[in-house]
Amino acid sequence: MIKITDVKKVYKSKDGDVTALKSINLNIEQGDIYGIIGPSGAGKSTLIRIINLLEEPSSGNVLIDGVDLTSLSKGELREERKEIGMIFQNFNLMNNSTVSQNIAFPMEISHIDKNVIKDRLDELLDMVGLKDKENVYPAKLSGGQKQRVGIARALANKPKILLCDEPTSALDPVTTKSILELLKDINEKLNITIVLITHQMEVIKTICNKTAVIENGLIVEEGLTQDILANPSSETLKQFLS
Amino acid sequence: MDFELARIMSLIMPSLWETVYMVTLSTIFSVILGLPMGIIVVISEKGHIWEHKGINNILSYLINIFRSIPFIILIIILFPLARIVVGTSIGSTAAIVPLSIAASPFVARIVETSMKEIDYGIIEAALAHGASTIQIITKVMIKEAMPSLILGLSLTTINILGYSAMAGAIGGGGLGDLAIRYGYQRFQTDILIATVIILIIVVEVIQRSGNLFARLLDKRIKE
Repeated sequence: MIKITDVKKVYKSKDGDVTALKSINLNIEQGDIYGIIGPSGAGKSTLIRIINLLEEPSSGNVLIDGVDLTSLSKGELREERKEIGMIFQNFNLMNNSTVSQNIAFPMEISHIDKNVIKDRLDELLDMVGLKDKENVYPAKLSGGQKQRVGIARALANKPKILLCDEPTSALDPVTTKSILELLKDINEKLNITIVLITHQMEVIKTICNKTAVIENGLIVEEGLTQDILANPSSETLKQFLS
Repeated sequence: MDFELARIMSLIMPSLWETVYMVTLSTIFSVILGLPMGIIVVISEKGHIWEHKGINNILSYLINIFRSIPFIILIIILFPLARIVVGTSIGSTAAIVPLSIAASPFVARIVETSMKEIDYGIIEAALAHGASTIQIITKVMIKEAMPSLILGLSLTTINILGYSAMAGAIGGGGLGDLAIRYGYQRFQTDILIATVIILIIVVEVIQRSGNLFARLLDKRIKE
């Protein structure tokens, strides 16, 4: 489904180059909830942005269903991105747009028929439990509600992949739990592949069937979550577990 | 007394309309020129959606150069251009040309500041969902910056109103022209005072309506 081969990312700056990702290989399968955990500065945020090419790799390939994203034109990449939803730590909702307008955004930019958007909006609001908030602006929502809007927006175009950039890092424990349940639910009902990055062990334990540990721009450990938790080999993971 | 007031009003009203005409059209044209400039300066910056170092540098320099020329000098330089564009270099219509051009770098800077207030995460989210550069500008950036742009617009209009008085001094007509000809050159203090009062009211109306619209459109703050 998602195949990352030998991806490197170097940021060039006047004070010298900074290597964010050294050599990353990942293979994520259809239906996975794939967790990538690591300390801050390990390259998690760069890695998840490599998957939809918000960050362009310095070398290496990103294959989604066999299509190499690094070989696409700008227009083709935009079309491919419509198949990949994304949610963010700070939600990144448009402040001057209502809940409905935020959720409808990916459909509007795809020029989907207004009536179809309307029906789809009902479905999405229902799915994330925000039926009564459709005309509310984000400033009046709680963190958990904002993330639900983010999730609905990410799912609007019926993507095959959902990327989650620290989806629960800004939320309290109770809200975190409900958001994780929602993600799990979506994964099961829609059979959507989820890739998430986090620094919270709890997120990994609760929903990820597979896990990779990233440290200093390298994947130091990966496998089925139950296996690597039972038998951690890297220092990073041992520290997370202690 | 009534006769006095009627005399003052008969002088002021035509000038007021000239000013309104000059300022309104100049504001519209300065926005048409300045808005794209401001947007391009923002999106062509490093790490933004249309990174373009050369264009960014050229535009920034141009804006700064135009902003450092004193307005009264700029009008004198640009009046010949007015003759080419509108066929005359005298009167309110002619004044619109230098006023629009002189105010457009100011508009560009205001647009730039407003657009830079937008959290880049919001733009990144739009990119992630497949939005094109144009869609991000029209559907995300302008919409998100709207309250701040409206405040900038009232600031611009008030600035142009001030500039228009200077344009009046060299044949542009309007309230500034009236105040100088009657109030200053003919020592008619009542005309001078009346002009100032009218200008204060006009500025107040522009500022208050700007504030009101900006507040109505700003959904960032909880009520």
